[in-house]
Amino acid sequence: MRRAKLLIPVILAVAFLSSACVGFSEPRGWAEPVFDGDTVYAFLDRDEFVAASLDDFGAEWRWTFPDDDLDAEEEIELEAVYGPPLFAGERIILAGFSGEMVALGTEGRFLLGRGSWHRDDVDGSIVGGATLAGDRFAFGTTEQRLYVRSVEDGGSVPGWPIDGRPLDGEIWSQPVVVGGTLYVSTMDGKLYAFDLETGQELWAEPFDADGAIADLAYIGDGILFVPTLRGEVWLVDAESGQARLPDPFEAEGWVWTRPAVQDGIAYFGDFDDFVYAMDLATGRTLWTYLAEDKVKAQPVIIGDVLIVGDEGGTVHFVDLATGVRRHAVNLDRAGKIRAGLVEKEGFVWILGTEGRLYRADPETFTVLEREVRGLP
Amino acid sequence: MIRQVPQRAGLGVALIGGVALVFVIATFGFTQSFTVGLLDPMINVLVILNHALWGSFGLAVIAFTILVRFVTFPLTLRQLQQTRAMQALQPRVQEIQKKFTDPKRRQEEMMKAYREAGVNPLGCLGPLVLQFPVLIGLFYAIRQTLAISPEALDNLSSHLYSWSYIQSAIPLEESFIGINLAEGASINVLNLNLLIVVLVGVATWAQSKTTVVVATDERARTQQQMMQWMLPIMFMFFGLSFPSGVSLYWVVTSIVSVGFNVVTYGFPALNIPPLVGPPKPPAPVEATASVTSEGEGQSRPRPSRELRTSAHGSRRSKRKNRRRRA
Repeated sequence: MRRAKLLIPVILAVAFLSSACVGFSEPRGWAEPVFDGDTVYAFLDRDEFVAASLDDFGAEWRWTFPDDDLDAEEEIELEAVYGPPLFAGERIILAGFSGEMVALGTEGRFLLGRGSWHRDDVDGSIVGGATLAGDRFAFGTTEQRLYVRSVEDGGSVPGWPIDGRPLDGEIWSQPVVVGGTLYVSTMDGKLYAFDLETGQELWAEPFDADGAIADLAYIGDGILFVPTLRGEVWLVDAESGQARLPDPFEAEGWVWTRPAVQDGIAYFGDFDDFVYAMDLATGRTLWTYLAEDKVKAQPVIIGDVLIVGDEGGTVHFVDLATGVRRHAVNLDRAGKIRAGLVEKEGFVWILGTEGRLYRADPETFTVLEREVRGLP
Repeated sequence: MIRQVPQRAGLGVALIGGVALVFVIATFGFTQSFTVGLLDPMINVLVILNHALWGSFGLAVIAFTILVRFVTFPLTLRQLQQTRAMQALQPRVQEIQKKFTDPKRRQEEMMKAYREAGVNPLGCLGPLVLQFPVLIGLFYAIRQTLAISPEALDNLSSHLYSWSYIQSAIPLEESFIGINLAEGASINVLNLNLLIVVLVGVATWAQSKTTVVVATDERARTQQQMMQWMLPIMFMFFGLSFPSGVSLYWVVTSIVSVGFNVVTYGFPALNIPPLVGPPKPPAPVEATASVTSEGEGQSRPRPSRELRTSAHGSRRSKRKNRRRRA
């Protein structure tokens, strides 16, 4: 009896600790890999930023940031990174979930006095990543603030307060810059347009999507692709801030992704495992394809094939015209595919949450792991 | 006879429930069964409450914790009553332990004492076992619903029903009276998140303090007293690591437990008597009310005819029938 009473806190304690170990909600990041010539840059494990040289067999490791042997780098804690690195001249800018930002030299080292800087003066977490716009970059945080900072030193720029511009909701999407206009969405369902130079709000009222907007994309022809966690997609006129169509496109589940666009058709997935081909002129569904898991990653079009990665780690090769599956490959060691797929020279590069890189060939429908050799 | 019918019915229900549970777990696996059967409904109720309570997740956690604790109150009450009865029996248990050196005989006498007092020494385990998955589910539901990272929000989508009312409630507001429910506390930062960790300690201590201690000897009593201090410290330590939403849940559930304890055990320090009576023993067995000595055990006093009829009626009549048939 006495033991039984002691059992409750002990079991609860074990459960608490075990749930902490499971870490189902720990931030791990999902930034897509970036290519520059024959170099691939990717976050292979949370905030472990790796550069490697591509070759016929995979990639040869060149450097990793942060280097734990360097005191200056060890102090920088990005925690996890969800947006791609920004390449600004001789600098690589990284923005982390911790709210910290760092500018590295192109060889991946943090060298003060040689262009590098480190800032941790923002409120909240950076989820969507930052967007480069000339000599400044923009990002939003979960503390409902929109920042525009200088590439030079990460400090303030004219027109934008150093402690950010308060908005109505949390900012989870990567801001979009088109021309001189900065677009940003909130989890409160609002879409704003600002003059990048002056910080002035351009629309009389923000666009209201009536659902959390976790991602945002400009798809050309003056259209912003605005997906919501209510399972709706709005096409918003970038100039006026008005919906292009009277009703939103209705998906089956949450839409938290960016589309691949070709010939007036947007291709994207949802969290109910569906992939859609949506006619941008009418908002009609041209076809749907059922994947095997949630689709978070932005798909890629190569030729007449749509390549889609789902969270079950399956890569789907889908006929672009009909939406019929041509082939599917499950990558059992990839983990979840959340990072956007990237096209490079006719191949598709895929980064799974387990930190492994894969290259898909849309001609042969094969997907091969491209190991980063020499990782320390 | 009257007492045995509901007991048997309860046993039957428990048996059918147990078989059904084993079948479901065997078919779908433990994780899937736990997720679909318990975690998902809890998460969705939390989201609905959040929407209904002005988008305040803090209020939703408080309301949901109280709701779950009251729904499981019959189980809790049964457990508390058993504990109370066990405590009342301790003088007699100690007497038996002193009197009998033969372990087998001592065990027999103990069981007899338990039976006469209407106490099942494992009686508190059943309700505990039933409550435990609910408490764990509640803990996980709060943690999952808070979506403290993008991955957590991604995972949350798998648990939500596709009802528009629920879907439009996402994402949830993390701030509650100045406390960021999604974040833990740090001893280096003096804020309300740290205050709730202190409240975790106070509430856990209050819960321990109002719980009846069933201890047979001085050593066990000392251990219990030590636990009264160790538990709050331990849970405060957990409170530092977990999101404040989980700490809020713990504070509320502890306060509710304190209430249940006071209702069941009373609170002598403040002269508050128990509001709920102790469980009724099966029948007053006069002949076995006192502890028999080791030698006397050979000739056990037989219960009176009247008592046998009330407590063992059906069994006796079967035996009688067998005799008749013979």
